[in-house]
Amino acid sequence: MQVTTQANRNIPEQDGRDASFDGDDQVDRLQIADLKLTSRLLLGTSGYPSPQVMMESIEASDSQLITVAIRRVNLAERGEESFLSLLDSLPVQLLPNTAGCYTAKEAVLVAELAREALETNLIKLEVIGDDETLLPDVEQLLKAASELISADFTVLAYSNDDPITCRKLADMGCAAVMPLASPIGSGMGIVNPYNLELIRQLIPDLPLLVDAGIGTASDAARAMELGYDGVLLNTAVSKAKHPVQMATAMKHAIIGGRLAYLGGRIPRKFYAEASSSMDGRIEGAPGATGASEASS
Amino acid sequence: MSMISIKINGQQARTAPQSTLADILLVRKIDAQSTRGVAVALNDAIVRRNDWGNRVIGEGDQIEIVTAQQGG
Repeated sequence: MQVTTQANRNIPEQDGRDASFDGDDQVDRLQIADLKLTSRLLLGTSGYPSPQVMMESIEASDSQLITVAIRRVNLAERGEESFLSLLDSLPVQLLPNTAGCYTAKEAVLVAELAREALETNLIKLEVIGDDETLLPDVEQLLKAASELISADFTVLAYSNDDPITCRKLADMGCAAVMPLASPIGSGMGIVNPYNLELIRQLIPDLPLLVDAGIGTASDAARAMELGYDGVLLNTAVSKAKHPVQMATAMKHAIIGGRLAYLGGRIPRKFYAEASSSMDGRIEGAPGATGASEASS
Repeated sequence: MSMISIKINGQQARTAPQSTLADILLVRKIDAQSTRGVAVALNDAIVRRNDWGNRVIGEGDQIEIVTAQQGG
């Protein structure tokens, strides 16, 4: 980011990349490994007030890739209507996560269990270093990512917002790198937009998603305006006062943010630049402090 | 017949000696052919469903039976 010393200092924006068109239908798709998605919103399934609200929120969001956790079967209650069978009725792909894993060993086992249970190579890799912040343990995360990639998993890696860590994940072969906006569930939105911009610049060609800490629609829009390929969120919708409404808001925010990015925003300028031309103004009354020869 | 002690999903359980993993799962209405969405680990290592019938369970073994649940 360069800041010049001219009167109208421009902070150069990133060049808007072209939309990700696939084929002739001119639809801007998000491609992660073999997945081709028209929605850039990935939605979590945790923390909703009821299964019904969860289902309605997923539908309102138009999300096509939904995260789930891998947890013990409730052996006491093996009823017909399981969580999985609910999701079966939706046109969504499941993305299992390794939430709650603190070591590479745990994460790799959970990923293998997920692959066996759900018959997918997709895995959202989380390896946590601290209970309060849920920030990743970078060393274990990198180790886990490397092992899972060697075992043919399609790894979407939840990461901190350190550009070097993100680049390592990208270089080793993750299908997507997903730096946080702020800690999981914190709703603080993007706390370090500078780092997210750096990450985008350092990793121009791999899908990057902002994952964790999104609080409201404008946070999601901002992530897309930074050039990110998608947003993963959960709590912002599931714990909103009206989750279905918020899911709808997120859907629109992500579409809007993406279009704004592709539209190519104007640069930020330190001083004003009149939008109405100075040509053709009427003359002011004699003695009035008329406009000076301002540039238009 | 003396039973052996094992753990299933964190709970103590007893089973007949020479039970296979498949036997133990079947009692809990999980079978390799028809049950979807489930995976099993034995002592921190995954056991694929093809092998459920081959693995004999021993004293002190820990079995984890998992599925997808709500998560972010």
